[in-house]
Amino acid sequence: MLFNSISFAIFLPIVFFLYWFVFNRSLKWQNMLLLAASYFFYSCWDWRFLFLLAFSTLLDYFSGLAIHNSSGINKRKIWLAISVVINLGFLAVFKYYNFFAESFAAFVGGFGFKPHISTLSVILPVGISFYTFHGLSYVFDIYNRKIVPSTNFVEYSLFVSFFPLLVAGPIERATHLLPQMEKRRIFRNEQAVDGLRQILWGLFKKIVIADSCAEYANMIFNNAGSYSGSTLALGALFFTFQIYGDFSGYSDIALGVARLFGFELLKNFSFPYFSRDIAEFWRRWHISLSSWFRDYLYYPLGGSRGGTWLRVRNTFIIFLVSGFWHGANWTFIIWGGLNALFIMPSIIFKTNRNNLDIVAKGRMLPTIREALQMAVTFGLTVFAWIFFRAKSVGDALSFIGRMFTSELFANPFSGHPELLLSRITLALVLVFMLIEWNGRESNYAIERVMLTRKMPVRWAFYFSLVVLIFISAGKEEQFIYFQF
Amino acid sequence: MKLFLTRLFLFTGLVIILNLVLNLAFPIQYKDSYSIRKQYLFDAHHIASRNALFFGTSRTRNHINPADFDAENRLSKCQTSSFNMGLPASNLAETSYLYERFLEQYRGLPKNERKLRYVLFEFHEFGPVSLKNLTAEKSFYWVDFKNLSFAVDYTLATYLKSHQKLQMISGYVSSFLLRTVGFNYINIRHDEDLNLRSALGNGGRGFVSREEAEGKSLRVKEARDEFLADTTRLIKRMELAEHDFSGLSFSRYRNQPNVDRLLDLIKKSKAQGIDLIFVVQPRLGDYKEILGTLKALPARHAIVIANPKQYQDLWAVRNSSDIGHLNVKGAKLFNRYLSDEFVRLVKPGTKIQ
Repeated sequence: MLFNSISFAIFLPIVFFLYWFVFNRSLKWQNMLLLAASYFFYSCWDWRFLFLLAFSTLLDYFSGLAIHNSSGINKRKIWLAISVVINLGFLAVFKYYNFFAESFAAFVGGFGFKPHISTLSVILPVGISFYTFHGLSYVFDIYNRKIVPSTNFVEYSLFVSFFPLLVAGPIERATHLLPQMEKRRIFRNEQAVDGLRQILWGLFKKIVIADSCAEYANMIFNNAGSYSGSTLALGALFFTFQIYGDFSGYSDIALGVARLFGFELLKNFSFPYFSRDIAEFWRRWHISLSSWFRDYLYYPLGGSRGGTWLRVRNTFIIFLVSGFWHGANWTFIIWGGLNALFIMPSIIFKTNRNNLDIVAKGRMLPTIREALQMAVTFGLTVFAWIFFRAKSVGDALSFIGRMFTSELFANPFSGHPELLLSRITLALVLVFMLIEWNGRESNYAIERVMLTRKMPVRWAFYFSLVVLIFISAGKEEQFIYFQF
Repeated sequence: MKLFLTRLFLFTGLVIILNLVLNLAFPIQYKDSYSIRKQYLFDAHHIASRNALFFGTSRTRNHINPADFDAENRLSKCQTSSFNMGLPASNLAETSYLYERFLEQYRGLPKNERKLRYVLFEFHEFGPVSLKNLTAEKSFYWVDFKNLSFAVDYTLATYLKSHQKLQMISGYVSSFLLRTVGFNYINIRHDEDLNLRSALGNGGRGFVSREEAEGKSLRVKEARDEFLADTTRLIKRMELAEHDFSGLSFSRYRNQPNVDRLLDLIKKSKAQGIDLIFVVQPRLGDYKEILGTLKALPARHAIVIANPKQYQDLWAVRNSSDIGHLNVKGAKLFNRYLSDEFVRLVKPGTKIQ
């Protein structure tokens, strides 16, 4: 059940109604309802995956209790290891087994051996990377004595499987979300209205921006051999906005839906394409994953407390692991490695925390220096996305090889009538980025847009967004991050 | 909560009312890759020289070659000049809707231009709208109130299980709502298939073989590859068809609302001097309701070329493009059988009732 589907449009009001009007007398029943709705939501992909979700939940729930109740450090370590090994074991089997098997076969094949490797034909359970990380953060926090384990299984299960964040995050922390599960929620009009506005903006990003860009990104990436320099660059640009609209749009919808039920989820995006360096980009892109890796991998490895060499090593490790988290393909690992390379100057010269605030805060326009910094950072990001989008490293290299020729500065539409209408999409992207720029000091771009205007003006704005969403919605497109 | 719900309902209500008014003022203009074909085909003016037309789905479009059909008929001294108006991915109600629109146009032609004698109308399934396609214009542009009523009556009269009926009815109600209060008055979609030659096929008479279609549509190729990877599915489908053709209690599967609608089509056609003949093609997944309903229609309005026992070669892998379609070789055979049956039905002395 996709957020941009008719079935979700039916599902959401039903759950909302039951939640606030039928089960509103008891916190326990409200949580039970959300848990049942979340399991139903997940079963719409494949009911068999429910067993995996339930097993993962049970594992982390009891591991958490066992870690907490164990007196000796060794026992605590054993329980932590059990949870980590089984959780990552599931990921390894469902997501990475074929990658390892094929990579091993290719490696030994290079020495003249021909091993008989059997691959698994299993479907990747949707959202497995997300809920596995939810559970892991919970046991890590208990192990580090940041929290005490939940003794309410329903609340914990809901923390893992809450439907707005179940399949593509944000990757929540027990310290942030579990207390909300334990507390009675009160309906607040401002929160619900804000939630609806964020859902609307998320749908706009997904359906109007991402899906429109996807059409041309797919066309160009799937037929890269037929296009030259500037057209390929255009394809990379389309993908850059596709993935942003897709994933940040999903996150906006997730946050908005959660608000309708009285929950505040972690912010996942904060205008990443206005970043002035790659370090800032990674503080603004998929924030919940970046901070997860920071807290549970980068810091335990020593973080930035050691010398330069240790910082460089740790940075490379988290970027490579982050790349690998996205998918079992060398393209993702190279994408992670490239980002590590791009961030290196700021790590070495300790300038990675120079740009903590949003660019041009309190001003309408950036300075020339800021504009140049943003352009360079954006260019590097676009370049790295080529590896993320390509089917193989060979495809990515060939794409880049064809892109960086003298044709890079030619008219990208010339000789390609099939791309002429993409100019409408580019115009939409431009308008979209202007709205994003205008709202960059808010939590999401239209959070404060027109709030001071009278209701008819505000409603006319929302209506125009609704119209754009409906006329762009030809078919349901899967969200890219569901595959991770 | 009260304020929230009041404003939410008010906003939604205003959007619905505005859309309703605008949809009435600017009726839906269905546009997709087949629209050129549809606009051209269903514009009655250009068919003035034809005396036989084919209506139906992709099976009609991909199987019936008017050139072959006319040639076979000539051998039997039956003169036809036919044209193929099959539209892919149509269902029975959509085909009926288009045929009714066509008749309205045809009625307006000058008498000397109305030469049509026969319409061969593919009798095919009327299934649910899949959730995946619910918002596609193709799924709802034809679901006006009359067709919604028909869909509901039809569904209630089928032999399907309750949950399937519910799924079908909710799908068509959604389609009706999308047509009535959707944002159909703003259509910026462009035609993907602007080439008339490509829309009408190489012969220019509406026939597009699967081989020809494969060159234009990745989906056709994918369907063929999928079929070739596991041809046993065709055998299973054939066994089901054999079962449907033998020993069925046809009256049990008769769908009375469908019978009434098809009889109405026969009547409307007759009023224009057209003999409407329903054609049942091979390769369908379920014949129970089709055969049950067909038995309730006058026998001389039906041609059935589908029974696997009688037409084994039309179910053979060698004559297949995919599980539901014949390749060009199979289509050639089908045209011959169709011509035989057609001539038998309309030969002098045989009066179509």
